[in-house]
Amino acid sequence: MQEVVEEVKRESIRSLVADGKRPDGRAFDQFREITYETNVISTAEGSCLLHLGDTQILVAVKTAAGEPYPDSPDEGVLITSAELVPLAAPDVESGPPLSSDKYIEIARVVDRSIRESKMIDFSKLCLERGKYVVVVFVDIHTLDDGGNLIDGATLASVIALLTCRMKKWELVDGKPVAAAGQTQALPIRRIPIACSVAKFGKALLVDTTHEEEIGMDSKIVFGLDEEEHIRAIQKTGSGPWSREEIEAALELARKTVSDLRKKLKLEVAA
Amino acid sequence: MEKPERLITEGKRLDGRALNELRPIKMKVGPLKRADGSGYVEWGKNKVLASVYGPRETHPRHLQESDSAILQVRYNMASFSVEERKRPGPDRRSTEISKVTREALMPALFLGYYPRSSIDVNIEVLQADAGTRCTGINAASLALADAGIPMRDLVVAVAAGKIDGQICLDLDKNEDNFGEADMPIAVMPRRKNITLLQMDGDLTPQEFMQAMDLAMGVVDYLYEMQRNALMEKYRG
Repeated sequence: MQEVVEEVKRESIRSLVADGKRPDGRAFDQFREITYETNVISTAEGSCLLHLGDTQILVAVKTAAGEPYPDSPDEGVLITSAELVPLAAPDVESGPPLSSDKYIEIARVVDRSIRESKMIDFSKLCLERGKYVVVVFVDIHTLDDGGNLIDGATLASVIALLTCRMKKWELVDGKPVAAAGQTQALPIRRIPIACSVAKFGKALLVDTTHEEEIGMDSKIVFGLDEEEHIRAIQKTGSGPWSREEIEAALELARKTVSDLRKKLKLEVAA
Repeated sequence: MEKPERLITEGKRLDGRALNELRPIKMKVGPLKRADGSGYVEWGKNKVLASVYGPRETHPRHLQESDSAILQVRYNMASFSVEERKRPGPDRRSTEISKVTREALMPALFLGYYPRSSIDVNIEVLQADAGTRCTGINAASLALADAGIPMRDLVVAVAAGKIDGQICLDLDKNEDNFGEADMPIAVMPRRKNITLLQMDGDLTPQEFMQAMDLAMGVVDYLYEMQRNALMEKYRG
């Protein structure tokens, strides 16, 4: 039954898009409304609850002192995880989710935009070379899966990092401790933004809803920095692309991200 | 290895290659006897085996689809395939690579021919030197054809990237570690359909298109290599 319903939905979405329309009446290059609150979780050092249309994503940032990676002994560490909690969609199983490769991919693509854009200056998060560094955990919780999770999760993560007041880690008698009552901003250098472009036959759409994603061929995520350098790319889903379609998708992503930057006015905290 | 001062000297890379030159590649079809199909690719220092089982009964059963076969891909790195021993078994990186590899191969298959069944591809990296996902996709393409699975086309894969500020083809381990960007792509050569695209690093939009064109430029050559490897098995 489920499969039949999906197939009907798939066909109806595709025929609608082929007529130049979307189920919610948006233009193909139009993002849904974005609203967010920060510092919503007092037990985290930074957090952001983001609404992107019906999608709700909560990202929390915490830090800890830990060991550096052997190949970067004087740099802090970023660990990004994503979970779809069972309340977010009807098909999420509790326990280790079977479709978990989707969530591992979300975490890895969000991580790629943050890491490759060099958003965080990890050289400033070293406590003792080769021994202790600050580990930054970004935990992505999808609360309501209304589609376009990667763009939403990237944005929520970036906002949570921008507004984070991390613990002040210092060495006391050679051991790392968090100084009581003291916090500081993360050392932020750049602000990456991700835009996914979905392909439906010849049509390219941004910010797809969950319903639209049932009908798409596949999508390509572009993570862009302020200078419009590309820092991360991921094709996700199986439908193939031509070179020309990819070039057009990149143009659409650049324009969309530039509009989002103007609208959101994200800034590094002073 | 410490970061070398330069990765490119007078137009030559550390291993002597030109910027647009692939590493030496060997392809073999049917190295495994139990599998329904198999392929082996040596790509520079990468050594990767792929096997195909199926179409066969789907395990676990609930993954079955009533109107088509499913494609299951498991990309795995052997514990000894890298310098420092890797903990055996799947991790987040291999889970992601398994997913994008499945999506890279799926468009080439007529899955609708085999409802309720499963086609299982296993990719085993025996020795790694950057570029294992591309090597694995080439090996899997050979294995699928060897298994007699109906295909629209073969799938070839190759990476382009940026080192010392220059766009170049097929990064090896040192270039990947110390370079600025790595971009693997997979292509169905007959219609130049791109089925895998990933990138991490720093590319301007112009550099990105340049990297893509460089990679697309060797697709037909790799296609020819795969076809020759397949004919080699069935000729003799």
